Amino acid sequence: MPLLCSNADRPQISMLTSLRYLYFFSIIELMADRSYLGEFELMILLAVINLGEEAYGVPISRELERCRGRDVVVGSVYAALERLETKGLIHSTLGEPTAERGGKAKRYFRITNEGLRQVHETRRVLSQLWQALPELKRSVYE
Amino acid sequence: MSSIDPPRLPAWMLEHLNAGNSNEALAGDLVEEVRCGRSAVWYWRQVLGALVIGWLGNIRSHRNLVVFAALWSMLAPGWTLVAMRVAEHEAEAWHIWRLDWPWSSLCSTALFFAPSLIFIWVGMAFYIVAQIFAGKHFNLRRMGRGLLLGTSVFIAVSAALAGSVMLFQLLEHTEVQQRPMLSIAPAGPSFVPKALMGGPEMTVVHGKHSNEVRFTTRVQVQQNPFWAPQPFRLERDVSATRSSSPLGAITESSAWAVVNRLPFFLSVLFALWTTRRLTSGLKSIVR
Repeated sequence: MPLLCSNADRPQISMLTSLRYLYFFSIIELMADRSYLGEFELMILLAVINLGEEAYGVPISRELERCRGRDVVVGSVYAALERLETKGLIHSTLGEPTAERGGKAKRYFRITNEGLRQVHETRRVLSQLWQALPELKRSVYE
Repeated sequence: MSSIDPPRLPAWMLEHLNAGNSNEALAGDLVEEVRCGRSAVWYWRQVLGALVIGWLGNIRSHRNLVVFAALWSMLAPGWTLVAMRVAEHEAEAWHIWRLDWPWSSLCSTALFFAPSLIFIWVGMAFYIVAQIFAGKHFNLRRMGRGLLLGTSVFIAVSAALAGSVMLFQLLEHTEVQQRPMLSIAPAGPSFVPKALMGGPEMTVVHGKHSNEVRFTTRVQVQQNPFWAPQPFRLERDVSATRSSSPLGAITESSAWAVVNRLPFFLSVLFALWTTRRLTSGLKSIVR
């Protein structure tokens, strides 16, 4: 496209430019949509699915500790749960306050349909990557 | 499950100083774990971890505010220089230095704090207007709370810094054998150190290419009369020389300039910080 052009061409150029901007922003939007789950977030989502109705802070943290084999900061679990809730992958409901917890209520977490879809998508991608791995593994060890 | 309670101090810290949103659920989870046999050390570690994670997340979500506070405080030395010139002029015009104590101290303190507070409030107004244009909502209660908090933080940090600087100067210029003690002489405005009366004296030295402003703090120190009756006088340049132009003061990056900007940065940051938990924590501390 020529850089210098007549006045008659100007509306057309501005329209093309605006279309390019729209395309650019649509790419950014798509990038945000296609962002895959982080390692910790995926672990938490799997723990939430695994625990079902009883998914709140304590069992989720214990499940993560059991699987990872090291201590987990419960605050970091809650920070990740908040992020997932903001993304719409889980939703939470408050339970009744109990004396065993010093009068504090439990916050139960459930996975949403979008969360399930993302878990499956991540699993598909990871499976494909793992399937390609034995060749690499063989070459590394040989 | 036993009825062991978690340590009180970390429990209070978690309740009042955490910036996260799930405080109640988190606190309940930690109590449940302690009653299931977790140790106090584990509880402390969890609380400190939660506080760090909560505040880091909060700072990340307020990064616009942090950047604005840093940029606005960059301008503070330039404004202070202009304000000091005006204040010196006004002080001479109103004969403030000839007033008796405590009026002289009160007037000079007001002349020192008023321009700085105006600078902070203008910064707040600027940020709030920009946020309103960006579609954010502010209510009057929050703004009033921010004004009070910003003012309190500025006065507290400035007083702490001034006290530290004075103490450092006294310690630096005092020999071990002749350690002087600040003592109150008979009535008169001169018994209050000049630094306490509203900052250093300023003299403009006209140079060939540029003007220089020299700040001098005259601290009159008397020795303990029971120990050595001979008084002596201590003089020292607080900051040797610096640019006389406001632009030069803004771009200055010395340690003194950074320290000068610190109260402004913290005041603007605290005043505009909209974390509900922080203010409730401060309220409970005040109570």
